[in-house]
Amino acid sequence: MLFNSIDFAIFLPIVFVLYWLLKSRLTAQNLLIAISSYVFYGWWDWRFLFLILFSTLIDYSVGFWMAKTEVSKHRKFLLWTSLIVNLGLLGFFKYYNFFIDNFVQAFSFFGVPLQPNSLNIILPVGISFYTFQTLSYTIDIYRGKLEPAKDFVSFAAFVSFFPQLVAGPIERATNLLPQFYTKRKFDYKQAVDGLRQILWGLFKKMVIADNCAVYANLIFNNSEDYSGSTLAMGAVFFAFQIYGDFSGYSDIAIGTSRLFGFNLMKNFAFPYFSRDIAEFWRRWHISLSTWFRDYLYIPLGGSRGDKGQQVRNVFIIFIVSGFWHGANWTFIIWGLLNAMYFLPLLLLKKNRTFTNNIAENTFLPNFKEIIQLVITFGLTVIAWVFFRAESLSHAIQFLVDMFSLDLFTLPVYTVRKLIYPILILLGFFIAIEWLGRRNNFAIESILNKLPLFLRWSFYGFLIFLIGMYMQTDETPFIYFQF
Amino acid sequence: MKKFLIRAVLFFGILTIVMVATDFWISNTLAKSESYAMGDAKIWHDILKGQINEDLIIYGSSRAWRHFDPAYIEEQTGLRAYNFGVDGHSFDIQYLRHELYLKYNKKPKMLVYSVDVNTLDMPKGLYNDDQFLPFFYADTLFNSYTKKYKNFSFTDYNVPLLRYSGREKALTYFVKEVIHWPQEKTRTKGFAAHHGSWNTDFKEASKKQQNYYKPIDKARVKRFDQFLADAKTINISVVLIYAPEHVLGQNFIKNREEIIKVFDSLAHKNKIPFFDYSKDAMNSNKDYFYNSLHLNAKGVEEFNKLYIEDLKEIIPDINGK
Repeated sequence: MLFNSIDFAIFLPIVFVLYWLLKSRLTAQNLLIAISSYVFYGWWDWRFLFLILFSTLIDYSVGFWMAKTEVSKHRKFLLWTSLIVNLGLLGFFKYYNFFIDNFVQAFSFFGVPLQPNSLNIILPVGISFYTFQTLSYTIDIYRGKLEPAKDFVSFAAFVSFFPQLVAGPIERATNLLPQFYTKRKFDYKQAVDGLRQILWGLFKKMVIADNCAVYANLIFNNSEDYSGSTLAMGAVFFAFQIYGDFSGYSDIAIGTSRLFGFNLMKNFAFPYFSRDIAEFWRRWHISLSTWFRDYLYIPLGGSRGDKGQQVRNVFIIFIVSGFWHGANWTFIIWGLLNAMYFLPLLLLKKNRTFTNNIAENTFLPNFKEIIQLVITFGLTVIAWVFFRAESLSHAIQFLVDMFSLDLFTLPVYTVRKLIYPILILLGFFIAIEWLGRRNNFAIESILNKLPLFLRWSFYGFLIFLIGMYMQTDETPFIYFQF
Repeated sequence: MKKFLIRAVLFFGILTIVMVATDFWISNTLAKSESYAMGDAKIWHDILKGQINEDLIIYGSSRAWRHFDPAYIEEQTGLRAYNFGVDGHSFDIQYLRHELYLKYNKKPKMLVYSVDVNTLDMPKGLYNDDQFLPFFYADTLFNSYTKKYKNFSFTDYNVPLLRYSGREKALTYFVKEVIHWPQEKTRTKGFAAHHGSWNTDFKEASKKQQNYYKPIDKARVKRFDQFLADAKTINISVVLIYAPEHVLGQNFIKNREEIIKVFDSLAHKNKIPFFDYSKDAMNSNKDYFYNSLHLNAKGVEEFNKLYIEDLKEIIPDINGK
């Protein structure tokens, strides 16, 4: 079920009302969440429900038995069981064909032809997200940071929690699981905040991302026909598409959770207002970056150790992050490129220069900040080309053509859609994001001082824009493929 | 919880009212626009408001719209005329105009039906579907006719305002009308001459398709026959006219003569005149056409002289002389 679908618009109010009708019965509420989540997930393909159930059973059992034993060897065995099962399933569904194809290519390079044995595997939606979430559970129990789940229903609801099941935020068990044990009380302010965040998320997805996608897709799919300036325009449109799409999803997920009395972690913090790449990575897909930080980077030694180890750790974390996104060399190079952007900052110990908000105490950024912002955005746009391109050769050709002399001409393209409304909407979007950059999401509190009539008019205006500029077909979120 | 639900209901209630009001505003503005949807919306609007009430109505597709000048007919015959030619549409939507016209306006004395090889077709989609948007709540006939083509979704028909989603042209025209942006009037009494010369339309069409067979659907022939019979029953004279068509285009349809024979036999059966001008010498002259199906302004001038004399011969009959 897509957040931007009629199905979800019917599903959500029904579950919401049923959920709060069960207000004093915690187990019943958790059971309702688990069942609703399975319905939500099974809407795509019910067969993959068995996969989630299997993961849930394995990790619940691992957690249960781990708590029963103090023997280090047994605990380690249980942890490895969880890692192998979860990463094994992820590896099979997501990376099997990639490894087979590259293996065959490597052998043929050395003159040993092999018959490829690729399988027609469908990638289960959201597998990378819930796999990492359940892994955090077993790892944290192993580390002694978390008690195992008190009951199976709470744990099943935690693993399958529908708002963030398919595209995150990737919750840490230490944050989300305890919320299933405590009685939730309906909080008016929290619910209204949740609705507001859902609205902003829908605007980002259905107006910004989906409309930018029209141009980004046209330009990336026919890149050989376009001038440097048009290609640059396509890459910029993609940058806004992926931001609107993914952060929009996160906003809807967080907002929906708030309607049910849950607080999920923040996933985006206005990343395009970053002044360097280190700051960008503290603001982009925070739940994944911190997951890798906690479960990979720090165990590897983090920024401790000699320069060689530091460099190695940075490359590992960025390449793994790239590979997490998909079984394609383009994602690996995207990760590698970001590592190269980040490395000089780390080596010069400047990776924590910007820990506050841009223009913290002023309305507008100063000239230096504008330059920093433009450079950082430019670097991310170049990296996004690898993320979006079909293949490495496509990405390289795209960049070669983009940085040609006609980069400084006016973009030319053929598309039925008028571009001016989209440019105006982008301007409106950036302005609102800028005004709300100190909050959890852009429209969290910028309107609080206004009278109710004006606030409601603004929300009505956003709904109007969504209605007028949404695409005819329901478009899936980009991150579902990961 | 109670406060939340009350406010949610209130918010969405107000939103619905605003949506309905905005829908009405946009639809009403676009319906009156002389240039929106190539002027077709204005014709629907005038029909629905009963503002036409003419003696002679011209039906057909773009070949009616581009070829029959009501002003010339009025000048020559003394009958007040209006052109209902609807671009890209066949008998189905042309008949919708007829039904609505009879429902809201005074019965005409005469119908001039411009027929061609596409009249009895059923197009796969609604061409220039923007023209229908302002009228979804105006008359249920609009919905029943347009639903056959699947251009619009369930929400388009049932949720106010949503059908304008992604319709940038419609919204642009709406804004232009609201701010009184000067716009070109596309038609006069439904007619608009084309002042261009022979263009590349034919060349492009030839690349896509050549010399093909057009199946004749018996049910549609029967429906057209019924329309002719019904008109006669209520004392409306009908004339079928096959307007000029360049010889290059005539070779496009393998069974063109067979289709013309269908019209001929229907005319014969219903005892109505059928004038076929596609065999006249002007059909070989590219100077009179801007593509193989449509005459340009110069061609229309020439064509006027051809059909008006034939019409004049019938008009004394309809005036009871």
